[in-house]
Amino acid sequence: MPDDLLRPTIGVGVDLSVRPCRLMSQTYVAFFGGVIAVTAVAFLNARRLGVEPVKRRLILLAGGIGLIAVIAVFVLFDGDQGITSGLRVSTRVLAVVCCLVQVRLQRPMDRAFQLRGTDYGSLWWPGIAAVIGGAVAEALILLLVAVAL
Amino acid sequence: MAGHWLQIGRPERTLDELQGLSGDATLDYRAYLFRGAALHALDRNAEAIDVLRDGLAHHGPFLPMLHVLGSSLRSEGLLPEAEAVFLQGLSLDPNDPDLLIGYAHVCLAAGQAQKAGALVERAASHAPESVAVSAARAQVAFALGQDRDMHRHSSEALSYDPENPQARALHGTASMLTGDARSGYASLRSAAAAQPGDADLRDAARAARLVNHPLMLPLRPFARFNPMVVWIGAVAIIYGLRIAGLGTLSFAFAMIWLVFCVYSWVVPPLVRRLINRKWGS
Repeated sequence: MPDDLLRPTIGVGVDLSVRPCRLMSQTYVAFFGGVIAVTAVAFLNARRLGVEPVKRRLILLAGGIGLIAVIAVFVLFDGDQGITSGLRVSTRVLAVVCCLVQVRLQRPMDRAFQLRGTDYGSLWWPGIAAVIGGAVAEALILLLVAVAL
Repeated sequence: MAGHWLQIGRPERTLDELQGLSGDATLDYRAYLFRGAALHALDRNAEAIDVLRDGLAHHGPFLPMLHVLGSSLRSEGLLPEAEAVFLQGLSLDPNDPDLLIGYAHVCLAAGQAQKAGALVERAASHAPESVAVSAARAQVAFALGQDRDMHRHSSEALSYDPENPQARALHGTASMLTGDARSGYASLRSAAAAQPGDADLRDAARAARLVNHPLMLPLRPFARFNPMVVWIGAVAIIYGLRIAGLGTLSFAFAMIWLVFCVYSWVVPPLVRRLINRKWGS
């Protein structure tokens, strides 16, 4: 009798030297760096966790939608008074919401990682780099949008 | 004697005991099995794999040896090799509960929680309810993100054997995840005390101690939910009140929120320092 449960399903092993970062830490990158920064971090982390390619593309898609939403909010808020606190807060809220979606996509493999019992890597320096890079990229994009309008 | 040391969680004594063997006794299947299991327990998995492969070459496929070899391969991250070993064992006895649970752990490590769940249920149908089955169910629930089920299964595991360190560790983790920090700390502390060599457990117990400190009480929402979700909630309230025309109330809430934020930055490091000083680093 063929037994489906006892058929091999595991294609690749895991490299124990690869250190993904904590999911919670990514929300801080979202808060300080914005949508682009957190998408970069989430995408790279998902690869480290071994998240399947379909879900990795969904992470990028969530980031893309988040960026479009940020541009839309920027266009809506873009009055004469320049960058308002309302704009600053709402882009952060959007980035954090986007991050929560991306974290959800990584969670199953993060739990598998935790069950393997190896240590997380630090997000300090990569996180700071992503925050600076992401914030600059986002500002440039919004500047281009402002010039185009 | 070597088996006894292994059973009571003293693998290094097992190795000492086996060191004293001479002649044919060193080639006995139990010598290979106990040495492999002790090395695996000490996290020296590469050595365990060599010993057990050697043992299997001498004695042919032997289920307990395949089980420890599979577990050692899993701990080394060699998941397809671990899967092959467990499937080899299961081809000899498809209903062996230990092998089924061992294979389930490989599937969990590979992120295949559904299949792991099915394997654990098959093990449960062939073995009476036990710590191993309940603990494995708790791990599957953890992998699936079902923290309440994890709590239920780990409590079940504890009811079978209240002294089992793995069951205590799982119960502690599940309690922390479901917001019961007090019993979470109690379980993690006793698990860490039973396994003094496990640095991860010690850290988890220390983190649980931090959450239980009276000064940390106002910060419970941060421990329970994602801090950023709490933050979004606060922003929604501040702006909601402002839009509703309640400017003063909005300002008052914003000030309280600011004080709360400063508290959440300043207090945890202080409490952590206090606890570390008490525990020694």
